[in-house]
Amino acid sequence: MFLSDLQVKEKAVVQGFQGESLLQERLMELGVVPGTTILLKRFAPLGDPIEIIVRGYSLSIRKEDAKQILVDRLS
Amino acid sequence: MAIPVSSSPLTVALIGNPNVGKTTIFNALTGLRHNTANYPGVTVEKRWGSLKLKNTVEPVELIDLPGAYSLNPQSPDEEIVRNVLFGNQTGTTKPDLVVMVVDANNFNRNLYLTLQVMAVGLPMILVLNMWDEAMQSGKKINLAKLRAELGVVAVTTEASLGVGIELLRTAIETGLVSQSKPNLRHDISKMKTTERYQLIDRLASQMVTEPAEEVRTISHKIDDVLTHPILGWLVFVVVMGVIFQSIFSWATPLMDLISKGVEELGKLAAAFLPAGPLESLVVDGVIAGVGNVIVFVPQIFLLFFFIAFFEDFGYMARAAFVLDRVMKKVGLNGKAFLPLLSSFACAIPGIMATRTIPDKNDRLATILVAPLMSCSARLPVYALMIGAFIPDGRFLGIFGYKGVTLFSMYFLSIFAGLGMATLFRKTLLKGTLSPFLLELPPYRVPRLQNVMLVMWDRGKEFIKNAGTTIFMLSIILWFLVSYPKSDAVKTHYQNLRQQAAQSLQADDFKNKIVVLNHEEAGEQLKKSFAGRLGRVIEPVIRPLGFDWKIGIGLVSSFAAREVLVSTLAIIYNVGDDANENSKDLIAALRKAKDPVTNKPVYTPLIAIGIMVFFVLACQCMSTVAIVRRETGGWGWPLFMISYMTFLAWMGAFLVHQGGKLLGFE
Repeated sequence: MFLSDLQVKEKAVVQGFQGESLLQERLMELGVVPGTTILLKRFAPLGDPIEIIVRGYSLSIRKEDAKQILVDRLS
Repeated sequence: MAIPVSSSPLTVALIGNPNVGKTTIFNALTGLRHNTANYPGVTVEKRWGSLKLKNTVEPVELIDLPGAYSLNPQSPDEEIVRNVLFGNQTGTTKPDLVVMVVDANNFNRNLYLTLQVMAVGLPMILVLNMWDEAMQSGKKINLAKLRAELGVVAVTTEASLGVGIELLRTAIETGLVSQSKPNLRHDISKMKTTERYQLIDRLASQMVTEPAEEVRTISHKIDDVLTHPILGWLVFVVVMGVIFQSIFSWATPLMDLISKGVEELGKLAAAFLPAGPLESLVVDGVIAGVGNVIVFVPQIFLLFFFIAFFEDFGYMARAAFVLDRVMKKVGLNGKAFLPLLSSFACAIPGIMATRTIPDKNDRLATILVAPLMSCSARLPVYALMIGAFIPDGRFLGIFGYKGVTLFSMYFLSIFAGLGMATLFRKTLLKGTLSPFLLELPPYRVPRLQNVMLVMWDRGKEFIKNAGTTIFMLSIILWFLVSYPKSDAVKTHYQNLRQQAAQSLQADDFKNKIVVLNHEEAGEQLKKSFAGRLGRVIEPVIRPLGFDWKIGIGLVSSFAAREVLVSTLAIIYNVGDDANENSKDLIAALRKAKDPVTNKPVYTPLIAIGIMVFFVLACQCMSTVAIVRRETGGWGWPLFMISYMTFLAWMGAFLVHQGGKLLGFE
């Protein structure tokens, strides 16, 4: 599944990325690397972008970009 | 203590992620005395100041580098940081010491850049800022382990309270002497990003203990409200409303004061200078011209104040978060929202605020449409036209015609701005939508000192601009409206004045002289280059229903939009001190007749055409000057003038011809 499939307050572990892009490179440099736990904090009022908590800080990312991030949901 | 002697001053560079309090540390270390300029060729701000040390007489220069997430640059800011660190930045020497500032609350991610900087191999001091805050949240960082593992001098600070600053100062001094380089026991140069984070996780597990339970911080609670699906919008509207209301109500008295000051200065200069061309150049050209622009300083400063305040507080990132969806629709980034909103007060701070937009095409598109937002300089034009020509009636008995007209102008400006943004992003400034990756920093109480400094730095740039480009353009415009002087007109009015002196008594004579002077100024303006230009462009603006007198107004209001009011006042012989509420001016405009057809020059339809023209046209030399600076050349500003003029012409054309088809005059 992808990061974009998570519901609010769900946690997941990053598995990898689909495709390659500058965005991906930056996401990894910001600490979104395979093995990292992510919490989907909230959706923006209009449904997009989303706010995730990663490594203890808040990061905002568009849904379409979240579709590139493969994750495993933590139960 | 002996410090190695070098020819250039010693340089210390502050580096760190955005939002780690770097600038607060910079301010504390330099004691508020600092300089700003742009790095050559780019609009990245360079801040530097002299660092006071206890035992060192030699000057030490402290540079506040822009915030960066990585030395593998993805924005002009990060490019600069990299170049400075590697000594490749022209005009900036390679630092003798790096002060790496990290946010102790966000240690893990901050360590990524730290490792990169350590690998550069410059002497370094690690500052763990916001230390007290992190400790209060229950986090524990073992400093002894950290120093041992990273092989670096580490200092803790809580810069916003001034805690630890003196220790840091001493550490910098020691570091400059010892030149001790960090001694990382791991070679990160060959590691991939994932491996680096694995190392970071390993290091962090040895020296950081996270609080057992995730504390629900105040920040999270604030966010629940500010990004709430309903409350979020409410807060947004209220915040923006308060900003705009205060800009208009607080700035107005100051603006009036400056207006008065400029006027008095003009009178003073006139008293000292011999009457003639020099006096006119100084009084009507330089003082009045620069004055037209300086009047906006209070508004611009206030706007910069609010932007800096909400940036410091952390709200601006949330506004971008909330509005990204809307901006994405027109091909812009969420970060474009604030610049566009500021442009409703004045395009200058708006265009300067586009610096936060990382993607070049995104930023250019935002700059190009910012002047379409209906700024406050258009208000006098609206006020005059609506006051004089829009009747008092109401639609459906509720909405006054006047109010609806004003509202329509704002609506048109938003519509045109967003429309053009879409168009530019689909054609000229194509490119994939730049990713919206934005850190939402924790909310913090803004530091008044920081806010004032940011306001002052940015405001100063505007004033500098007024002193250079605008100064020059003012002189050119003055020349166009003042020359050539017609001797025939002068002699004619001298004769009339003499006649008046012979035939009229005291008060009547005084009044007559005023009328004659106003008439003479009007006649001279009509004979000037600007007057001729008005006639030259008349065939072009005739289809808009504008005569050559309005043409003169269009030419001269390039100085600033509200100059239209005083220009019309001169043309219609009521004196240049008339304002948009002047009864004389309104009466003169209503009376104005076309000499050929004997029909009124101004009708409600023409007034709307003029307003539409002013919504869409680039009648502002300050904007042109700032766009030239921000884009680094004349290409984009000239393009902007062209497309906006075309748009304005089309808009006014459609209003006039469409209106005529519907049976209006």
